[in-house]
Amino acid sequence: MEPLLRIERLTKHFPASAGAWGSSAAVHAIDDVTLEVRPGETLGLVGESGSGKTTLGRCALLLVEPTSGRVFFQERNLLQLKRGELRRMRRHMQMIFQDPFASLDPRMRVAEVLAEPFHIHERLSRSEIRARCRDLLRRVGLREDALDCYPHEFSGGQRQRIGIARALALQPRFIVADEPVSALDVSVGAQIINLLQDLQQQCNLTYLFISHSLPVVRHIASRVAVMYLGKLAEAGPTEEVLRRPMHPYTLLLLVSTPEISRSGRREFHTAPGELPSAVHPPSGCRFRTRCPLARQRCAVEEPPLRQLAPGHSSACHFAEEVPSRLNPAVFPM
Amino acid sequence: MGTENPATAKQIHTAPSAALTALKGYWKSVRDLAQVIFASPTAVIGLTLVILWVLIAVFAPLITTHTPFEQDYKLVNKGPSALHLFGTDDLGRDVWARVAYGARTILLLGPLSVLVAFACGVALGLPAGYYQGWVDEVVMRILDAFMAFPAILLYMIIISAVGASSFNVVIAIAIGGTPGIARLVRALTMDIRTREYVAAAKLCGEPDIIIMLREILPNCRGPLIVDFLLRIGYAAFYIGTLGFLGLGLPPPTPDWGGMVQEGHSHMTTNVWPVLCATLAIVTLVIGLNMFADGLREETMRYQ
Repeated sequence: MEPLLRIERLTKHFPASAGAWGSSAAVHAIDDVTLEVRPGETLGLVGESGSGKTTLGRCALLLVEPTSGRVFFQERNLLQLKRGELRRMRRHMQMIFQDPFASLDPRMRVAEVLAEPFHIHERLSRSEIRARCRDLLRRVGLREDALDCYPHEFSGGQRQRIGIARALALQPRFIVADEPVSALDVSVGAQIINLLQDLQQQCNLTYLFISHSLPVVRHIASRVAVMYLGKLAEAGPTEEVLRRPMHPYTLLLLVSTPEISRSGRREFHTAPGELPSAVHPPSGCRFRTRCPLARQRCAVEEPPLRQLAPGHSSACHFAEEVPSRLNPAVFPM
Repeated sequence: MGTENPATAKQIHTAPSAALTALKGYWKSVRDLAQVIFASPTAVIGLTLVILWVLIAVFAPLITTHTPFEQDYKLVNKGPSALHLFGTDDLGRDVWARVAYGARTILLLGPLSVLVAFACGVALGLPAGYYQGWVDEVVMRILDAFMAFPAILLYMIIISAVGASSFNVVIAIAIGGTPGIARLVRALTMDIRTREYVAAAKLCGEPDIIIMLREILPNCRGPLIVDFLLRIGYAAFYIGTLGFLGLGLPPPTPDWGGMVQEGHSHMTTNVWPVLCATLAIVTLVIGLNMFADGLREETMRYQ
């Protein structure tokens, strides 16, 4: 099947701490990432804070201009579109934001927030627009009289629903959900996840679901891509990646998820150390500074993304040696 | 307001008309503003002073016994009397009438000039902060050149070049105020443009101009209102200064600064014109400053 969205060799560097004469330091937010999102699927994008997953989502929608690389949406290179063409294209690709308190204009009523896309893209009368807005609120499970309220009158979960309604307004095909539940209570977050799944069914949506929570991604995503320090570490079908990780970073993410085991003992592991500087990333494999499997070769040679099983690829020289579960002999923690 | 009581609207529980909703929203924002003002004693005192001067300006013909132009050569440079409440100036004109009508001048020209300055400042600062890059560089370097001049020197240069008239005073103060306002708007824009609702607006395909005017500018409102009030105070101050330097409004326009200038040579024999005009400037400027300060403190507390 043709991919709906294809990101090719995408790189984004942000200028950092330019000296008096504009020294060329740059934050390597994304480095040479290639990714596909197929129609109707949910691709989970996982990684810790600072791994570049949000930047990738924003680059995919061209909210952030990539440094190099190409972004194809429905086989059209977004970077070659003229401004007007890109604006018309926008209606097919929307975003759900992380912080429901920052993503709604505090000075606009819900009706104005939801009507905005219609003013731009459709010629409708006032009453038609209002009817559409009511319909949108109904679909995301809000009362219709919310239309005349300001965002501050709602709770976080309700605000997130308004954000979802806004994203749905123009019947997009593709939605980037940027950690849509990480700012919410677990129970409210679960409702939002269910809503997103229902909407996917009804509207034939494709999601790029960005999250740092593996359980959430496991629940919603059919495929998962793991990012580390601006690079793709591993990508494949969710169940397979989580059952048989092929990259040591994925394994560490997996075992660092707190869970209460049957014996009642809490097992909790974390990856040792902190994320290295994105201005001066480590040579060779970027994960080697924290990797228990790291050897000489990892410091010299950058591991390419290799396909190890159908649809399952990993960027590790020693992918075959990654244990399927935590082995205290290999991972002393 | 009484007929559109929110309680009755709820009882009927029909879909409220758009006009009613707008009115209710408007009334609510007025109430919110009043709440903010009355929470701060500073703002209340400042507002009282300002309202006092506005009332004097509006009802000037009703509360004065003479016109500001009427000259009485039998009563020149006299102190307060039953006929002239605050005495007369060197041409025998009623000081109280000149102060009251002078309030009209200053309360018209002050806000007007600041309004013009705001229009220019927003027009320059908003694109500079939004686009950044070379637009920002060009706009800001030009404004830096203006800022290099002391304000009063800039006014003197402009006025002496184009001549003294109320229109030219407005132009001079607008030009002098524009760089500061543009900088403020630019700084606020650079902050707000990174908010997620601006990204959402971009994703909707909103053109840049709409994003700037509909999403960014309304969210700069708080600091801009405070700045606006402060600048009216400064404008009153500068109009007074220009008047004193003889570059203000041409005589016989009643002008506080002009009164000080005309009266200061007779100050040892008749202090009243100078004293009244000075007190008028001081109370108006202090009132505006206190109002702005109180408003700033309160709005910051709520954020």
